[in-house]
Amino acid sequence: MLIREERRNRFQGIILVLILSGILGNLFGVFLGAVLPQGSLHDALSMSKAFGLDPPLSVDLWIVSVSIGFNIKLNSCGLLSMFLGLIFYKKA
Amino acid sequence: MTAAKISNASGPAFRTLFLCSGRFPAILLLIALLWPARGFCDLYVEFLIDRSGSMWASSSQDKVPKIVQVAEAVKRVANKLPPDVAMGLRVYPPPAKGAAGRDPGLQIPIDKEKREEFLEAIEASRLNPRGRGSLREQIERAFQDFPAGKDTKLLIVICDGADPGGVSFCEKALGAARPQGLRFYIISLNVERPSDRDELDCLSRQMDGKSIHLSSSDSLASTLLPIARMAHKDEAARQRRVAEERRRIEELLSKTRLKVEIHNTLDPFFADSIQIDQCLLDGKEVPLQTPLKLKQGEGLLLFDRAMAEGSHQLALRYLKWKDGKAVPSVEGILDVRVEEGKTTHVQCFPRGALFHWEFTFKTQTK
Repeated sequence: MLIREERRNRFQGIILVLILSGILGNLFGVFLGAVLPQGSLHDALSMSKAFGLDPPLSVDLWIVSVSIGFNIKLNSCGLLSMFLGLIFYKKA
Repeated sequence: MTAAKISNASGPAFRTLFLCSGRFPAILLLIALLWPARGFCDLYVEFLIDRSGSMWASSSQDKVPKIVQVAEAVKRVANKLPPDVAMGLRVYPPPAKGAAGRDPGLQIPIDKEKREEFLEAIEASRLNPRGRGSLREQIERAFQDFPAGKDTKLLIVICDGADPGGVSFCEKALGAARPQGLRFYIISLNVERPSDRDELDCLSRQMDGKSIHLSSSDSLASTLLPIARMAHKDEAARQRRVAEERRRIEELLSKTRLKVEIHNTLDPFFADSIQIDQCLLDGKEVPLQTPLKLKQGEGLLLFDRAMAEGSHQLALRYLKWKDGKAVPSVEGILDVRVEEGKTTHVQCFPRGALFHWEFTFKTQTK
């Protein structure tokens, strides 16, 4: 019982770390994009790529219709930050 | 100059155009090669005729005066030469009553259109020999009668004595500069005195010409005609050579070309498309017809034009479009060498450096 709860807490922690580090990394990427001169480095760090269900997946069952959609927008700084956050979280 | 998207030139329309463009220049070339035998000759002939009183004497046994022989021979030559030969007539001593403001020695200025006037002026009665005059002075004046240029010029002196004008031709050279392309002949009629012959020989040597001393039995017309015909033939050959050389240079120049293409090789992550912003050749703007945007993998022929041989500077700039925003590149400068008779093919590729967008070039000479 304790082990299962510990696992659930750990999973929630990982998700939280990924989201927070992703947000911080993306922000840092945007900041670098504003600071760095135009060039391939500027574009590589600041340009983001979006993944997810776009447009959202819709299921219409007559009496109820369900739409499921999510979109993750990441730049390379965000991705790097998430990776680093995951490593630090595992070590901590 | 056109800016058109590169596409494969194939299909019936292209083949028809290719075949036509192959036959047509060949026909033109054939016509051009056959044509110059007539109408392209720039031969200028001037006769400088001695009209001193001694020309009334006869040199032949049939008692025909020398001036009549000269008039008939020159007339015969004039009638046999093609109409594209410009002929002029100068006499010495000059008539005392010349038209005001004109050189009285110059009877007919050298002109293609004045053949009729020339034939009328060559009549013995109009030449009317009398007195004595200086050959030296009239030769120097005759130099001014010819037009400038490299065309063949023929000056034929027909005389029956030296008349050096007080100073020997052997002792003092002519003062005036000879026109370019001048051929000089002296034809003396029945000159017996060796000193006169020597004078005339000295003069012809000075002029890199030829002196011909005719005796009473020689025919003047049969001496004159080959000289004039040879000059005409040589001039026609020279004109052909000049035309061929001009054609060769034109052909060479049309093959000496600079062809510039641009290809978008940027990854779509960095650019949706690129657009040529500026194209300068040797500091002058090359007008581009349409501001085309090139997506990844697309190419554009910026220009293909005949250029002078040597070094040229090509400067290009582009706009990199991504999500509706345009980022200008730095100016890509290429010093390109165009070789004679060859096409220099320049391919331009956009490239991302760390802190700017630039061009990279690939040059080929074929």
